[in-house]
Amino acid sequence: MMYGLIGFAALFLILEVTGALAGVNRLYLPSVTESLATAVQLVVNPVFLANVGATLHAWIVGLAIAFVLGVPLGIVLGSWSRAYRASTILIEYLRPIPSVALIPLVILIFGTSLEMRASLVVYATIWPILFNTVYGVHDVEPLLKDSARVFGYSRFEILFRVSLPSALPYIYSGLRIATSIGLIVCISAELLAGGGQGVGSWLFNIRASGSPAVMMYAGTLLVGVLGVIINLLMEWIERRFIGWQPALRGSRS
Amino acid sequence: MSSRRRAVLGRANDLGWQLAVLGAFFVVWEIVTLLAANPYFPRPSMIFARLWSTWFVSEDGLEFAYSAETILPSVAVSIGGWLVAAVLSIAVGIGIGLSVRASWMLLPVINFMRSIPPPALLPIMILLLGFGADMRFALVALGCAWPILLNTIDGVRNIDRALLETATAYHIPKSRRFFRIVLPAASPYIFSGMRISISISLILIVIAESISGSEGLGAHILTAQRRFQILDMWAGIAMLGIVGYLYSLLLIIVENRALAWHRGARGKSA
Amino acid sequence: MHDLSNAESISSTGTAVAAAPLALEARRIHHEYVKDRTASTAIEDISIEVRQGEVVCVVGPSGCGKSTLLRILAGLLTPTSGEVLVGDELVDGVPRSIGVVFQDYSRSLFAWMTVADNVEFVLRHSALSKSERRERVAESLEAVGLASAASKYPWELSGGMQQRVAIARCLAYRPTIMLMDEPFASVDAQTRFELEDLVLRVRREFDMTILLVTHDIDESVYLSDRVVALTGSPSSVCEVFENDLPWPRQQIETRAQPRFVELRAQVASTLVKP
Repeated sequence: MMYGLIGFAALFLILEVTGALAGVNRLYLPSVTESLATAVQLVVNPVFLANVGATLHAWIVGLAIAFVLGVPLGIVLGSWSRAYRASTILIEYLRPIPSVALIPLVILIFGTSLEMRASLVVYATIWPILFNTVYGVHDVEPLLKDSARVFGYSRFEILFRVSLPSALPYIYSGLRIATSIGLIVCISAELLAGGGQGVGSWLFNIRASGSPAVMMYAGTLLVGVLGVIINLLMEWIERRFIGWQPALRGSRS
Repeated sequence: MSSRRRAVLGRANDLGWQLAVLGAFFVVWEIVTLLAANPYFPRPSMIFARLWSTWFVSEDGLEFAYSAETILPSVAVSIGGWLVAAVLSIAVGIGIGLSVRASWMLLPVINFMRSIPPPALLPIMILLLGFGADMRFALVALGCAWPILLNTIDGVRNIDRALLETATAYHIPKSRRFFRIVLPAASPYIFSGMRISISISLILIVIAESISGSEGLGAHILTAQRRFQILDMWAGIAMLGIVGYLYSLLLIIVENRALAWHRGARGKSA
Repeated sequence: MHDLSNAESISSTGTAVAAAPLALEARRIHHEYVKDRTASTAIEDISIEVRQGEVVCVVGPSGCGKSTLLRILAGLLTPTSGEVLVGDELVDGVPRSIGVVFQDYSRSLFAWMTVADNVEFVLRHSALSKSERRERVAESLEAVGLASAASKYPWELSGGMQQRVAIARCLAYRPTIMLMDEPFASVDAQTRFELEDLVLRVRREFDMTILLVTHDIDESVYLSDRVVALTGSPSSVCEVFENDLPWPRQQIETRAQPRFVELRAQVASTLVKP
């Protein structure tokens, strides 16, 4: 923690000093102090906040839909071996298609609305969720299932009492990947859509609207802070609720 | 995660099965689009016919020029940016990872940089570098750097101390230690960072090209969309899918060669 | 029936057991499995009889199909041919009267449940009330000496303690037959001695019939009324030894007896053939 602060302070000093010595054009490369000051103002700026809210809205709606669709589908595919084989092949082939390629299509259909961004988030985030659920449910330790069978549990009960809890860490790590992909796709769609709501559009339109470039730096900084907050939240939930999983303790997804 | 994926690819390696599943997928897709008759969703047979005539074989003989104009810049810039990011991040990451104090100081900074969704950097990059290929290259390199950097640091920090102590005990020189011990031992982590990055590189190149609108697959897709050439747009999306698939294939092949020892060791202990 | 106070009076002897009815019987088990499109035989021909109250140890070299045999006896696996009887009923599915302790405790305990929840897990289908269940869990943990670890998670315990949890889980289920698959293969020697004695005590206190699979010849002689020696793969029974070592057994004294050494040599000579 202490060292981290030193790191940030060092970075701050280096950027300020080299910026001043090199005599960069402050219109394009504002100083860190100026950017930070602007960021502080932006945090209470209602227009900026409304745009951040719009992004988060689409992000969370999309994630929720992807989760609600992806987990049950993943459970079915993962616990039924024929479907498992077929679906893993399809997933392996469809996953590499970058979800942002679909942005133009979705803009065409939905315009620049919330539905547009949310449906893109659904498409982009359902893959890691589905993938991790399928593999998590399928690869449950056979001895665990045998133990439950010995003590009189039925197939159906084993699915919910054994397979699902044991797959939970995998499902959660899929969700964690999904949260960052979702944010990437959401902001990409806003950038490409140009108009409309969202922090991506806001960033992209700063120059067109004649605002100073320092706003852009401050906004990007705050988007980073948002990313950090989301990551910390997800980590906290993981520690709090699935800390029992030894494999997960101290690993990064 | 990655070892699971490879294991599954191996298990499902039955080519007949794969073809049957893919064939069934296309048949269902064809039938659904045929029945739906929605102008936004053309039949896959038409999409792939258009893809073929645009980039591979056409009557006017312009396909190579068009491939050179669209696929080449996309692939060159995304792979180039990714490689530059990888080389720099691995070098810097090993340096940081070997020093406990440096990793404590810099990890929070790097984590913060990684938390910025890479596309959000696009407006700043345009401001500084304009709309050209250098901007796209810089954006891809910047977006790809952080995951590789973080994983390299992790990898180096997780090297079994016994390995390094063995090297000290046998008086292995520094340079040999670096290339024969540190780099290989951290390579599973490095590769997993590179895998995350290669998909980021494709995302970033598509967005950057769509916005600059002059060259590349992203520009092709967005131009087609603006002109309501739905079939061309879908052909572009399909082409991107193929490029994405080839990227992941490339990575799997490289990984399988470079990390064969890793899986062997893990397989035995498991 | 499971009264702990008269545990001592039940302590069995070899002669008393011989007259008891059969608890578990395997008749001409033959098992093949298909791997990479070729059939391999895991078990050639195995018949085993276990009488009520007996401890029978099945001993054989690693990879000879011992675990497969145990899975068949537990009803987890249907053999290619042959049949398993519990009492005088043909086994089809997993019988209620059988409990299993698996070899790999770290993989058979539920990591997301506390020790107490792991034990209570097997009571889900019983007609017990909530308080009765709690009592049963406490009693089972007490029996294996883990009463204080009830609210811990399995991964917070040592290997030997985790295997005690697996045994407690089995006890709570109140099976009449306990099948154990190399239960002490992955614990240190000291812990192994303690757990072996725990098994013998549990057998007395809970009036249990036990079939234990192991690759350790000493262990099989120390624990059993009878040792069934298997040949390598595909396996079949090569010899059955009536173990007449006196009860109760004691780690140091029993292992020092000439008869123990003699039995061990006999079992070893059938397993270690040129």
